[in-house]
Amino acid sequence: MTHLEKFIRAIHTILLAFLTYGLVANLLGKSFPMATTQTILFLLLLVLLSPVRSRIAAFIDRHQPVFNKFPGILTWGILLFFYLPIILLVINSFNASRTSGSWDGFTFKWYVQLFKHREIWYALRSTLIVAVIATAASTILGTLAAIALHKYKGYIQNAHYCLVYTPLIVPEILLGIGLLLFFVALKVELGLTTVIIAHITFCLSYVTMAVLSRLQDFDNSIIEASEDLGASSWTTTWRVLIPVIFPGILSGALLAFTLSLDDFVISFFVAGPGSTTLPIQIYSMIKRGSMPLINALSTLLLAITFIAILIYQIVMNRKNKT
Amino acid sequence: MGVYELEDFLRFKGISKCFGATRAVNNVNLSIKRGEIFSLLGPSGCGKTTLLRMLAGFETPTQGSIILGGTDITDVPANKRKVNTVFQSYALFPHMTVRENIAYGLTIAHEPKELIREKVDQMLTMIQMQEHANKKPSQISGGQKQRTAIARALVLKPEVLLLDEPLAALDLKLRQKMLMELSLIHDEVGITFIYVTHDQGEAMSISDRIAVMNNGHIEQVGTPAEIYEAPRSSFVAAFIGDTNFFDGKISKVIDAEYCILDVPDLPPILCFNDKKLALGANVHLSIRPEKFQISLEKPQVSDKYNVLEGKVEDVVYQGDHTKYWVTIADDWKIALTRQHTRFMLDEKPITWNDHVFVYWFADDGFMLDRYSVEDEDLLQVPPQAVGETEIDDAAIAELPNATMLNIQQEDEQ
Amino acid sequence: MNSTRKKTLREVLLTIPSFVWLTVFFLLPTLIIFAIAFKPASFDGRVADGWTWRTLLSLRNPNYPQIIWRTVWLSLATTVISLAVSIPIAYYIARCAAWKRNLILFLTIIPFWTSFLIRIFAWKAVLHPDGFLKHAMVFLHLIDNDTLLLYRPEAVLIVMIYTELPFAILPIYAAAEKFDFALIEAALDLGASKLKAFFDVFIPGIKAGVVSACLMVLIPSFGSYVVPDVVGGLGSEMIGNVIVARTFTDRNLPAASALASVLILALLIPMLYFLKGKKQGQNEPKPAKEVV
Repeated sequence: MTHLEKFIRAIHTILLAFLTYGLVANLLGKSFPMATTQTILFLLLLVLLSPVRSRIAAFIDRHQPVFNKFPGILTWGILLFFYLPIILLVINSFNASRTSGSWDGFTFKWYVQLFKHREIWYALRSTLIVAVIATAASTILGTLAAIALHKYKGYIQNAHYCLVYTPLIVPEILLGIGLLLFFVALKVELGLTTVIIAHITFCLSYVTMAVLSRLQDFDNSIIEASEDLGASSWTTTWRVLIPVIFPGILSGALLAFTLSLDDFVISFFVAGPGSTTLPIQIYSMIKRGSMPLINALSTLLLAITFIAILIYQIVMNRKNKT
Repeated sequence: MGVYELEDFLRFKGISKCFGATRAVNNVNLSIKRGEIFSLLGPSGCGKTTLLRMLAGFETPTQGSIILGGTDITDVPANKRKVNTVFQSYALFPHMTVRENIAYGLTIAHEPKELIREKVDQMLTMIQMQEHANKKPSQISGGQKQRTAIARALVLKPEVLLLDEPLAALDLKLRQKMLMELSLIHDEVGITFIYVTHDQGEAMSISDRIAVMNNGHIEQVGTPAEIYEAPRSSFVAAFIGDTNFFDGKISKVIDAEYCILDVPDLPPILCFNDKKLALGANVHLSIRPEKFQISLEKPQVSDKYNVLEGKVEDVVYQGDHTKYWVTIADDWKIALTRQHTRFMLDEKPITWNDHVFVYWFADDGFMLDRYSVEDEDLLQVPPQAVGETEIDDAAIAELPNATMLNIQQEDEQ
Repeated sequence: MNSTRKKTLREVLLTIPSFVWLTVFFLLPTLIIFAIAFKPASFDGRVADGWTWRTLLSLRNPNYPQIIWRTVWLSLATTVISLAVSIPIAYYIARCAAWKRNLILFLTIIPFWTSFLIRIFAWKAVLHPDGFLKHAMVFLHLIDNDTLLLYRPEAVLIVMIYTELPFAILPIYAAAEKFDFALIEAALDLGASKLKAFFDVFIPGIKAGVVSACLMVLIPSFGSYVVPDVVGGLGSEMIGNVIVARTFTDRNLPAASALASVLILALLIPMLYFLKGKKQGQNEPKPAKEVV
């Protein structure tokens, strides 16, 4: 490599570093649209400087092994990005200090306070009532819908499919405000019932999709075999169809249950006084700013989730082995 | 160009490739001449595809070097090599038309547009795909995809064209047609083809030379005839065509050319000793099924023939020839074929349990350098052992129903 | 004839429960949003009788253009960045050894099962003025001590990417898994550089997954409410926050529904596109869980 090339590369490195610095500084220091506009201008400049562009291509070519590792580094970096906040939160729940900036020693005091917190236990009770009823109802409705969608074709089922699918892609806030307006228009008192109705509505679509995906893998000839062996359509449904798609129903129900437990936005709209669910309780705690308490609560919820996933995995693995 | 350059056009020098603990390719040395069709033949997992991928640049050898036209290309990346590949699954870009697929490499090379158009048209004419130029790969047939893939590689005028099981996805009839077309294309462009296949028929019919590979190393390199007639190892003998193995010890060296082989339970066998093996050497003799002759009467032959007596175990009529399995001295089972040169129906047929004489000319047997017992698994076995595939329909028809059920049940198990 | 009728009856019996439920509790409420936008507000937080155009005039609020602009910007930026990050990740996962692939997918899916609010709250702690990230950045002289990390649009952007990224990764991975990587080798073989092969062959090959991921991130982003509410401040409100503010703070339901109508109309085109895509290729991955 000649000195000239080294010189050009050094200049480009400096330029690149400068641009990166400008980008970061802008994102942190200015209002967002301003920063974005400036960043785009910088990037345009970078691309338009064609010698720089070809240099970049050559640079990537020359350092092929490094750039080959880029997707891998990115992936593990993003996984770290996924878990770092959660890990910090768990650590902080044992931090005696009220703020996350300093470590004042290990403590269980937030957990003790948490157990004395009456409202949380009350909210948990409401959440579980809502989740159990919503799961049961949406599982039944969703399974029926999936069987209908799988078995029959035609414009009715097309409309049915749209009706089932659309709630999955509509932002939750629209589902929430729609239901709120609906209940207000009908002068229905907001309470646990309205929350349950709202939960059944969005869980229904998820259950249907879970069962439908199981049905799509399902070998239709075993239905024919059952009918061929003299079973009535009723018997076939109960003795053959339901057992075969049961894993789909189960995973749909599981999904509905966790979604119902976790839902905040829709519940927030349709909950009345006295129907505070756990997510609503957490939200008001976040807003009120009792951070260590939420840390402890979050850690407990995370632990429960992870244990549930672990048990699920172990059960599934054992089932697969036998 | 001199002879030296011809011989050393493409060389693999001590190439090895490890994937973790497994050695996919083990110390391969090969020289390939300019302009020949060279086949890498072997069962799946023998390392032939890995070797090809190293030549294409998709894998880096763990050891050794690859030299193409006098320059070491071991560390040259795939996109800088004058080597192009026809992939097993064609790997045509599904979002581009046939024309765009063929033009892709030229576009990458920043050739002028008119030149690209001209070259692509030329290719389209060669593969007779002019009227399909604007179709997507999903709209054309398997054979057309194949031709497009070849054109896409050839348009770049590579020094070597690599073909990785190019006919595996086609049906039998089309495969034979494409094989013909491939050799026509080779005659037209005259560049080196390296052809990877597990199908000995394909390799035999298209290649100038073949390298038979097994377990990551090369068993033998030679012309198709050399490989077939003079296999060097039991693997080559068993993998290419069918054969019979006899293992014994040299009990007498008659002269410079012949020796006597002692095989347990068999009379002394006269062998052609081209490898100049010494007295007492352990030897494996390979004899191809078609080298045997079979008759009901004792044959009148010269003393250069070996004659064995046995009982016919099985007969399979296959139209142009019949295949016999003959048991000799209870222990040895010989597979042999007889061509139907005369009108067969007039002859007294040889059938099951007949006492027969099996004989062959001593020069037709071939002593092997290397032998491993596992290679016997590659040999064709008599139909009974194969099971349901070749059950004699007539025999089954005679069986009572209950037995038929039994057979089915056994099959299910 | 009798059996045909029986079959029809069965179809009706199977279809009616979910059909009626969704019509009453999903379709009707959605239509009501439009209807109430033309109703006057009453002072007790309910909807008064009669019809009016005046509610629509409330959309002329001088703050709205800025908020809508911010919503569009943040949603687009979330989508573009999520896609840009997800495509190399999907490529990497698809090329991994099986055990590694399952591990990464498992780790990507776990956040789906943990509480959405908690994940956002965790970020509040990370970006907290007294949090470790702030200390680290001050120490590195990237920011001075007075800069707030929290309560700004950039914080909203990061957390929105954090919550939406799995929805981008999974559909793109599903497409990448079906991608034939021999095509990349073919491109390299024909002289393309790795980068060129990636753009010429890989990205067109996973186009369906990218489109699906794009919509799956874009649509919920437009309706974001919790993220800007928790980590954003006054200067980083989005349409969702305004809808909630009109509903709960001002108790002006018609104004809220007017805004919600605007949101629906803005999302109608991408949603129809999504539905159309779903009808054509129903083998695409279903959304595992959808949040705001």
